[in-house]
Amino acid sequence: MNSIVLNIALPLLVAFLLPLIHASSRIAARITGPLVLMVMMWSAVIVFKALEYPVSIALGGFLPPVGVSFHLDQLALLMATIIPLLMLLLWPYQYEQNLREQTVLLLLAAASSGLALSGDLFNIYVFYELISVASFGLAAANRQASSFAAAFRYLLISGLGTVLALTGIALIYTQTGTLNLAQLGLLSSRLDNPLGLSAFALILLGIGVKAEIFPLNGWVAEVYSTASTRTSALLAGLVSKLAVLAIVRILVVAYDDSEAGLMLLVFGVLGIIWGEFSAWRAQDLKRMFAYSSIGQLGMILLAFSIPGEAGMFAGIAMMLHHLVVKPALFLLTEKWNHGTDSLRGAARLSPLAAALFVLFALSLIGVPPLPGFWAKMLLMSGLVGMDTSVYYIALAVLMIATVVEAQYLIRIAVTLYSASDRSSELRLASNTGVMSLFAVVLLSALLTLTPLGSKLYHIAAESSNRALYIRTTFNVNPTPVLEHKNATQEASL
Amino acid sequence: MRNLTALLFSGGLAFLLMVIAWQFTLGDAPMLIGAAILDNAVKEVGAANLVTSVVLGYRGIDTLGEIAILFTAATATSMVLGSFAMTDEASETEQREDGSILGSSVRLFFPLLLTLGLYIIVHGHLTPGGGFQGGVILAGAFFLPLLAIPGRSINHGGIALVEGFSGAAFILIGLTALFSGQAFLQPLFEHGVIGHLFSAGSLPLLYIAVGLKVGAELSGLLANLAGISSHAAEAEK
Amino acid sequence: MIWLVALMVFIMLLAAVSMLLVESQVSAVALSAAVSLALSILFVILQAPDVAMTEAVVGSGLSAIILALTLNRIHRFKQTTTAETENDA
Repeated sequence: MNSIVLNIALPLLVAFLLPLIHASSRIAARITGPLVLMVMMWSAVIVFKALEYPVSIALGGFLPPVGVSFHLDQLALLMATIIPLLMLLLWPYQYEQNLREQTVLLLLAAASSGLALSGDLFNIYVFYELISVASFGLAAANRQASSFAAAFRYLLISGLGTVLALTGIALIYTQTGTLNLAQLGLLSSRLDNPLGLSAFALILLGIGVKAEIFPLNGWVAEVYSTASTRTSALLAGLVSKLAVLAIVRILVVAYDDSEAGLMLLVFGVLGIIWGEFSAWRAQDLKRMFAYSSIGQLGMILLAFSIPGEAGMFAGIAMMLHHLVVKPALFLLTEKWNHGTDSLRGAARLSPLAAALFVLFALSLIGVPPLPGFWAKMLLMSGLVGMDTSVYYIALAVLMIATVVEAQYLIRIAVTLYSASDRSSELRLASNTGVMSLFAVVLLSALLTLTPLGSKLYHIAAESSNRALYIRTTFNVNPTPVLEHKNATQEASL
Repeated sequence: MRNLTALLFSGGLAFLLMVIAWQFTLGDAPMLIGAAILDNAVKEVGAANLVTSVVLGYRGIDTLGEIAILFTAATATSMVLGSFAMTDEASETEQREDGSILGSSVRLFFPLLLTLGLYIIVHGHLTPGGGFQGGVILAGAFFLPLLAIPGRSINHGGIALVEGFSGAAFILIGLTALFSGQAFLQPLFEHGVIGHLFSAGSLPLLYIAVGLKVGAELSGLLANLAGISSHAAEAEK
Repeated sequence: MIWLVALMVFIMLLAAVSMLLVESQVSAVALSAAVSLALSILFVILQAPDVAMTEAVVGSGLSAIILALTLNRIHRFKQTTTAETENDA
């Protein structure tokens, strides 16, 4: 179990050494990155398979309440497997000279794995910060004036978010005297007051910047439309999900039975409204995807705001669905024109890409029998199951948003298959071969989502179990660790 | 639309801060982890400086994250700056004479700063300070001559070498503990006599790695920002 | 001791407010360094020498240098671009 720290240590080690490897052998530098990602995937899969019940590992050999602990459950390991997998798909193979971008990508892989596994509030903050800095670099990597401007805006908003998150963490520390998530779970009564909820709001807003949460998403459209397709796919697909996951961990463990869930619901609903209507108005394809991703993340937040297993199940399903679909959409349309009107007749030039686009778009809307329908059904039944007026309002918003979503995505699909007026206007590159291949891979991943339903339900039940989380952290010690009687005793009081 | 959301956000944030200011009481913070560390840190980690035992012992993974953040920031900065190469005209205006007072005082300062930086790094487990603070002073020591003495250049290749290997050393020390059956980043070796230079197990080694990494990172970053080219580039010209 | 704390807080406030008011950007950078310096003394009074050291070295030293170098760079970039546009004209 302890070997899972390799998923953080190894990419960091190689990232530090990559400039030196590059200086000695260029070919070695080119293959090192993908190799490391494969090793990460292998190590995550091995631990995933060996895992029978959640395990907590103590870093540095110090018992959890005092030292930093990683919480290994199926959800964390699922993410730890997906991270290198998606990065392998989006790795810049065809470009030779962007050594620095590869370095930053490896750092992003390490930080993402750390964020998925961490069970300590400040450790989450450190990895979140590392993800932020790495994504600033990736957003600016395009080296155009527009992408620099977008990256700068991103940096400012994200910097504000970081300050908010750190304030929230400091506030929690002053109220409870601990940073360990499991111990916060034991002390959650100290957080169920206006001060504790304010701390959660600050963390939600702060980490929510990456999760494209409603008022702090001014960067999304600009960055996604100016950064390279691979970067947009990574930020929209992976990084946003990890931010959501970190928030959900804090919510489930430390803010059980409090109004914090309602806060998530409000921000989710606002995000849905803002995102979907902005997408409906967008004239630029990349911007439309960006806004639709804001709306989708609103739905994911909404799903996680439903307490208990049902919400966790719906949330994980929505999350995985969006994680597969959005990168696929970005990849498919990499070579397409930005303006939505200039896409007329694209289906004739690249029929496979257009067909896949329609398929993914339908799944995003939630048309049966595609997996998107299943995920949205889970969300709706979860909302109905709550049987409270607030959740019914959210359900109504969700229905309307789905109609809006269907309207703009089908509009694009119709444009793709309509006859072009003037062939001279068509500046599409028909060469989407490699990207279509990746998209097919992602599609097959998508189709396995529904059959894995029962497995996912098991994962959701496990990660929504707060008592299990706390018990795991304090009881199971697979490594020889030093004693901390004082802290554990006080914690159990 | 954008103004409306900004207004909404600032209003909400102001409300949030008001709630916090209203509810927050000073002076009665619970000390769960703090008390546990105060009681046990000297016994468990063996460092006279408690801050160091937290930074490298209890929270070593956070420190690894911090140096990775610094490294990422430096890499991202050079990614951005790489596209705006200094023109020859600009670098010529840089070649001004600053007078001998500045130059000779910097030459005097260099060994002093170097010693101070190294002292702070090496004594990180005994006295206040450590790898981060000492590393910044080291970077300052190497950067001052570049500013004050015209025509001075910096060896970017050497910097990359120090940076890479010191960062790798930190992780390899952590992995050594992992592969010898302990936890990642668990302190190695015996504690020794508390307060001695050779004590606190592998913590001083970790701090030396951090110090060298931070120093190399920052001097490279500063030279990059100041537009100072490396030896190799000048030799080509 | 309380007077020293009050003095440091006053210096920080003064420097921070005048940072907003001064015309020159370089003076603003210098004032931000002054805020950090006073803060580092405050940390010493609060018996946090490690934090004080970091604040002095990073806050008043490093970040001020980075800001000043960036200003220098922007200034030079502006100069060269205006010179180029004049040449073109």
